[in-house]
Amino acid sequence: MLETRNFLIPDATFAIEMLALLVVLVVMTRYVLPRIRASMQARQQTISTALAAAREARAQEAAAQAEAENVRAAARREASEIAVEARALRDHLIAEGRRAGIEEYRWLSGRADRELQRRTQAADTRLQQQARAAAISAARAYVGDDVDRAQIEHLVDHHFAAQTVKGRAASRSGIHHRALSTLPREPAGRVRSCDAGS
Amino acid sequence: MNALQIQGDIAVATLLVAVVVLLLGFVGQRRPTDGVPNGVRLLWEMSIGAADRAAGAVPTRIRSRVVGTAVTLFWFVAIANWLHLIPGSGLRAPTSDINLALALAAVAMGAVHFTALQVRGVRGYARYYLSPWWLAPFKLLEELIKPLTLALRLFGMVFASALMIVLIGEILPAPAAILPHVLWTLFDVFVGAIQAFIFALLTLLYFQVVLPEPAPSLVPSTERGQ
Repeated sequence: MLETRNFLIPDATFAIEMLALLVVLVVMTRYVLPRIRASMQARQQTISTALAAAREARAQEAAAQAEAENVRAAARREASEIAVEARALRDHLIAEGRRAGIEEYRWLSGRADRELQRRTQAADTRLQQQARAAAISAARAYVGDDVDRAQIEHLVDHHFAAQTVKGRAASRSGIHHRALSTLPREPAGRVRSCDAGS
Repeated sequence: MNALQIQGDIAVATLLVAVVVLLLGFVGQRRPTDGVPNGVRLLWEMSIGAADRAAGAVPTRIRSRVVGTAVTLFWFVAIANWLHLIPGSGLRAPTSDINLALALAAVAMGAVHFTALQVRGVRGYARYYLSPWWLAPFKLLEELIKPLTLALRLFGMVFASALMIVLIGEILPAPAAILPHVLWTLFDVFVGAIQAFIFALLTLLYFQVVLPEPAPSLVPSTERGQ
């Protein structure tokens, strides 16, 4: 075949091939490829829509997270304010309790003083009577029956009164000083009940 | 030499290629029933995507036709180039004959000028060649050379490749020819694909040369780098 024709010169085969090619091109570009292309574009559109929805969801999530963070921050601020108020209330209650405790102590201390004074006075009276009797008895033993009973009693009373007043004052001031020094100077860690003594 | 002579083997091979391309097209266009596209459809979609990207600033309203022409020509040329590689078929690559190469070039350039006429109109089409007027002869010469170079490049490469396979079988003794034959066949597959790619790419470029630039709003967003 190659000997009978120049292989660079086309022949009638060209027409057949051209026709076949045109048919293929028309069918493919009109019926086949546009469908595939449309399907591709629809899929791309679906993907774009899904991506847009995902972006929107991400934005909503970020907004929700920001809002949650704001709420948490507000809650933290409120909790801090509540803690400050609670500490102030605690300090106030401690001070109140301490004041009430001191007043109660003073009241109890005063009552104890009065009781002590009453008993001391009773003891002094008994002691004084016993001292009088002892002094009169001693004077009678040495001097006889004509002792001046009133003078002896006056002497005993005078001496007794001086000693008793001095000793009682010293004793009472020492007790007060020691008792007051044991009171707490600063509020304690726990709030003590202050309604027991009031 | 008889101008009315028909080469039966080449004509049959060309028709076979046409049938194969059409079959692949119909298989590829079937809507996937389970949502998963078949391999042939993926092949078409990959080709269309690549051609779409290479089409550049082709106006949207004719983009489908331009891309479709390039993709069809690519697969037609590729299958024609690979046809002789079917073992035991005795088929020749129809592109190793000047008739099909010229027919392909004529169809490609015909599609280019038909589309340009449709888009630009007769006056716009004439203005493209006559502005400036002193370049008109060169532009006309270029339009004659384009199909010739398209056809001769394809024909030359495939013809030479087929000739090499024949020469390897003729020159070397049978046991020694096996390895070179296999290597050259693999190279031939590569050459066939490259030639089809060049043919389709040049056709797309010729489309872009004669078609007017679209307004910025008509350019698809993918080409504006978005």
